[in-house]
Parts: sequence; C-alpha cells; structure tokens
Amino acid sequence: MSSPVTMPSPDAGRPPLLEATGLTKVFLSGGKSFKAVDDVSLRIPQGGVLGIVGESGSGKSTVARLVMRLIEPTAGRILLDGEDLSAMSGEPLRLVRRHMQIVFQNPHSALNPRHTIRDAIAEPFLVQTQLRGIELERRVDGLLDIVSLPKAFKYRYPHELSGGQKQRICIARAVALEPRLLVLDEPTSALDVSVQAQIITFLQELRERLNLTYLFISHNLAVVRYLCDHVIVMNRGRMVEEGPTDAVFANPSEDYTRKLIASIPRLPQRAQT
Amino acid sequence: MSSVDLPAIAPHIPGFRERHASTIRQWRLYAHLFSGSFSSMLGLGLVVLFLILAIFGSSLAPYPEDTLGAVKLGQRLLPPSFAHPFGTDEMGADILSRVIVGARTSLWIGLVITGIGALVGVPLGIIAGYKDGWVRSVIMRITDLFLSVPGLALALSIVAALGPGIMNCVIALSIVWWPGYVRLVQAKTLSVKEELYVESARALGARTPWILWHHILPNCMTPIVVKASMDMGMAILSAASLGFIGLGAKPPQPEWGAMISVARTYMPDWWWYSAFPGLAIFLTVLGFNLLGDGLRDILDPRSRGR
Repeated sequence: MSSPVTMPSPDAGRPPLLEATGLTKVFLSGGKSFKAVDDVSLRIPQGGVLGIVGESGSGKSTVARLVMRLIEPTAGRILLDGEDLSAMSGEPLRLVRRHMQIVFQNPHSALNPRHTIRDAIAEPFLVQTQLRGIELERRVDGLLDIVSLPKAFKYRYPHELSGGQKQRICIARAVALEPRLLVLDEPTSALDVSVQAQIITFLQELRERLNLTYLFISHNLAVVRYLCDHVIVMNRGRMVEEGPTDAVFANPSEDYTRKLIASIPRLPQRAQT
Repeated sequence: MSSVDLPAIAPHIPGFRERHASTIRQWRLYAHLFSGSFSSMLGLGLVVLFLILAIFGSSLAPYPEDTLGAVKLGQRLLPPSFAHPFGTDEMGADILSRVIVGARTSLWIGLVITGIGALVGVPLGIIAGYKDGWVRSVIMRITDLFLSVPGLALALSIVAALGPGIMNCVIALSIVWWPGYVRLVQAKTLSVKEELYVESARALGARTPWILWHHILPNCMTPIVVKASMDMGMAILSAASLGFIGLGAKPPQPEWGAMISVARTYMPDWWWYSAFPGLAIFLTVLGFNLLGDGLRDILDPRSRGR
C-alpha cells in the first residue's frame, strides 16, 4: 500500500490511517432533502484516537457509517491507509472491511437473537477467512479471554447476557479480524454508568494491547477528554471546531463548543486512573 | 497481531447437553407454555392422530380391500354398526376403512402444497424484501397478480386445463399457494433487515447470501412456521373441495372430498356416508388451525414476556 500525497498536518510525523475529505451526506425523504453531514474532513494517524462530539442529531453517527461505507456518501473521499474506499464496491470493499470495524451504540440489538455467542464471535472468521474447526474454536476462546468473559458464555444466547457483556461480545466481534481501525459509535451510551467506566477502561487497554486506531464518537465529553488525542466538534452536520483535545477543552474558540463544555454535569472530581 | 494470546491447549468443547443447555431450556419453556393451553394440545392431538392414520393407515383399516374398490353388493349402504362403525357405501365398502386410508392422501396433498408454496414463496419473499428497486417490483407485482384472483377459482381453471386427477390438483393448488408466503416473508424481511445485527454483519463483510441465510431467514421463521401449520388445514380443505367438484381424486381411490361428492346424492337418508368423511376433514382442518394458533402463541415474542 502506497502512502498518499497529503498536506502537512499537525501529525505530519505519523502517516494518517484514515483520511476523509469533504464528506457530505444528503438524505432524501418525501421529496425533501436533509443534509445530515456537510463537508466534514478528518484524519486519524496510525495509533491515534480521534473523538467526534456533538449533541444528538448532529450527524456523528452518520459520519461513522459513512467512514465504514455502510451508507453511500453523497460527496467526499475516504482513504484508509492510502486506499480510496469511496471508489470501492463489491468484492474489494467486502475484503477491505476486515481492516476496519465498528462497535455500535446499542449492544442489545447488535447481536442476532437466534445466534449463540459462539456463532456471533465466529462469524467474522466464517465470512472473511478460511479458518474452521478446532482452530476456530481456539480463536473464539481467545477472543472471550481478551474481552474477559468466561468460556461458558459460548453456548448462551444474547438475551441471557447483560448489556455490558453484550457490548464486550460486540467488541470481540469487531477486533476478531485484527482490524487497523475501530470505529466506536457511542459504545457506552446504552449502558449503565458503572458498566460505562468498565468498557471505557477496557477499550483503552485494548487499544494499547492491539495497537488499534480509534474513531470515537460520543456525546459524553468527559469520556472523550479521557480517551482522545484529537477532537472534532460537530453541530447540525457541520464541523464547528477541531484540534488537540486539551486545546479544545481548555480554550474553546467557538460558542457552541463552550456551551457543550459548560453542559457537562460537574461532580466532585476524583483523580483519573 | 501477535499480542492475541491463543490458548496453548486445545479448547475444551463440552458435551452436547452442556453446549445446548440454552436451547434445551428454551424448548422446555415452549413445551411448558404449549402444554398449558387446552386448545393447543387438542390441535396437537388431532394432528398426531391423523399423522398416525396417514402413516399406518393401510394396516389399521379393518377392511383394507374395500379401499381398493372391492364391490360387496350384499352389504350396500348399511347404517353404522359394530362391524362397520361408520356404515358402508353404495358399493358395500366399509366407510371407516376408506376414511382411514384417505388420511394419507389428504395429508400428503396438504404437505406437498404447503411445502411447494413455502419453498417457492419464502426465497422470493426474502429476496423481494431485501433487494430494492426493480427486483422487488417485479416479484411483488407478480405476487399481487396471483393474490388478486381468488385462489380456488384459479386452481379450478388450472385443473380444468390440465385435466382432473390428484397430481394436477396438487400442481394447481401449489401454483396458487406461494404468493401468500411471498407477502408474509417480504413484510417480515423488510423489518428484520433494518435490525442492527444485519448492519453489523454487513460491516463484517458478510456476503448477501450469508446475511439472508444466517440473519434474515432464522428471524423470519416464526410467522412461516405458524402460517405453514395453518395452511396445512387450508390446503387439505381446498384439495377436498376440488375433489368434491370432481376435479381431484377419482373413485374408487379413497379421498375425503371425492367421497362426500358421491355421498351427497345419498343425503339425507344415508347420512353416515357423507357425515364421516366430512367429520374427518373438519377435525384435520381444526387440528392444524389449533396447532397453528398454539404455535403462534408461544413463538410470537409479543405474546411472551421475553
């Protein structure tokens, strides 16, 4: 894979794993058009964590789906490690999907209720690799280990698991094929607060362990601040502000960002772990 | 990624019971719910009864030769008695024997019609539901075309064109039976394909056939099973109707519809001739409908807590 010719950037030292320019998505419904995402550009260096924050309906999740090529962009280009995803379709796109994976917001509906946990975790191997039999079982066991769930869960169904456990299964599915980019679309917002913290800590560890690159989408600013090196603030489908997380949080240059930051509920702070 | 530590030893794969503990629990729950309902159990009982008759019919019938067209003019049209519990017909044949052996014909017809209907209709429905654009339009318009003509009338004209006979009757009814499944499965697929797990499979890079087979079809099975069990009854009834108007089985082949057709000229004085085949049709159709209702009650998530 050749590295693309790109403009110098703050992370010029590290080549971008993901680069998207001018992403736009217009939804048509009932004769009316609605611009969900308007000219969003982003770049994530290899091993970096980019956060996208914004209120509900600001187009964050649409960006995630665009980047994953789950929906067609109306305009814009997406480069994954120099390869133009937006020009791909069919079999090449299917094969490149193993390098980028997504964890959805709602783990309760992201798992097929008729599949056991084993089936769910084995699925990435079955659709993308020739791995079968005993070796496949070993990989499934290994992934359950990675997400710290007991092997006995293999033969359970999703409805027998808690939300946090289901989200761990979703994460296991997503990292099964050793992707380079992991898109996390509000991975904790459907979970209890205590479980949220667990998952976030776990994601942080996982990133270091598997050398992953994250695109982290959230409306939880505290989590974004904890996890991300760079952040993009979105409002009504547009990028309002972007920059290194600390800089954006310390000196927000836009009113919208200031309002967003001011809306974080303040609690007696405890030292971060 | 070498950091993924694979367990060094071979994975422990537990026994069948342990691996399928969840499934077994689920089925136990189904069985418990099902057996709690009197009408469901009645339906199941009737269906099992007729299945036994269909499988072992020829050895259960007291006068097997009567089902092959034996003529015993000495005992024409005898009323129900100990020797002939359902009486005898105009050829002197034992009606009980003919009803028992007729079960096989009726169930076979029902099974084949429902089977062909589902085998044709379910794949078309899934494709129509999953694909957009002209594929869906073509499938659904053809389906609408078939649905807009009354099924029995269409089957009648098809049999009339092909000529009477059980085989042609089955062909004709199969031709009119599949559109119902397309409708049902297409509607279900439309809702299932919006589920997050389908998008998740797509994000993994699953091919469309994989998604249809592993994600869409299993989640469409409940309405299909319910409809199929109810359709068994309806198909048997339709086949009997065609037999009644003389387009199905030909006497002396024992078929309930054809028996009633002959028997109607002997009404009402020789009532047992038409009453018992009619009762057989009634109980089979009732059995399959009650079974279908019972299955719907336990399989439909909305009628269940979880």
